[in-house]
Amino acid sequence: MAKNLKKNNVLALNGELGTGKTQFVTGIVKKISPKTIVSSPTFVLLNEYKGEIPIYHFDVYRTEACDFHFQELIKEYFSNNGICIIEWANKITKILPSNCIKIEIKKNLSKGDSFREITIC
Amino acid sequence: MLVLGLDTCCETCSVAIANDKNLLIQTSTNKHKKRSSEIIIKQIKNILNFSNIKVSEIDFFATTVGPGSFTGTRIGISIIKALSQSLEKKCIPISTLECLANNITWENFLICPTIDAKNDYVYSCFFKRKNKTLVKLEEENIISLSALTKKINNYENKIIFISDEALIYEKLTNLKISNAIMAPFLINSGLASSVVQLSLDKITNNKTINYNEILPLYIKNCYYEN
Repeated sequence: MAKNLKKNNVLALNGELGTGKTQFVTGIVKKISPKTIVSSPTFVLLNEYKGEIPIYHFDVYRTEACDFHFQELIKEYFSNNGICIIEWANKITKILPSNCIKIEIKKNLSKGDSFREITIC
Repeated sequence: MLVLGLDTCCETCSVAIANDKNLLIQTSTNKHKKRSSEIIIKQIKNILNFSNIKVSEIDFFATTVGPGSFTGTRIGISIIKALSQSLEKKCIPISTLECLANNITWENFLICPTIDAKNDYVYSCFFKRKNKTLVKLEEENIISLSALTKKINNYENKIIFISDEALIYEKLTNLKISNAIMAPFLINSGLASSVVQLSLDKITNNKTINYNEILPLYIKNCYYEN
């Protein structure tokens, strides 16, 4: 998936706690900017990873991130020539562009603890 | 009397200086691949050097306060606040939509400036010219393109759309509103000349404010209510 990503792509990443959203982002960033360390932006709200195409990694789980001003700021990143990946994107559906790539990660405990079902559309 | 005005809210960053009669100098640069913060300080220094004016000789500092880019708005306002506070001069806030509308001098038209608000929404506000004066007909608002089409269909006047972005021009043309025309496209001319021109009126009418009173004009979309 990382190979096909382009500038101004927006990935809306959803899944319950512990399903591996940040792990998913780590995998994508590894392909695009191999030496970058990825961490969860739960507290900082946004991590920027520099590279050939900059990656903007958001986490909007906290209510501060759902504030009007912060959402207006997030919108500006969508056309900033980078790749935006937003964890918990279903909290800010109103501002997501219509062509965003929606990714849903689910566990399926009947198939084991480390099994994940990933739906991309 | 000298006024320095700038605009960083829209696609083109611009700075201008005017005296009470004339626009003395203006510079504008499209933000293409750069950020306003990188461009604007250089622009201010350059026009002051080029016109042999010292920043301390400026009597008023004006800026667009929105609506427009979230960060762009803050950059312009921060710079004007800093200059105004340090030089102990007054500032003048101007609406970006009024600056766009100011470029239309024709009477008998409903003037509709529009600025991109993303996701097929635009910031807009209706104006008209009456005896050469620009008259504001409503408050600045945020509206979807489809709602704007419906709103305009209630007007019998000829309508003139004006925007500083090619993308919005394209979208407005695609609305195919029969009594609407597009204003000449201001691709690189910038709004600072309108900022200083509209400031002259505010200066004459004592409508200038202190640096700690200037605020961005952010318009909340109704979808934030939920």
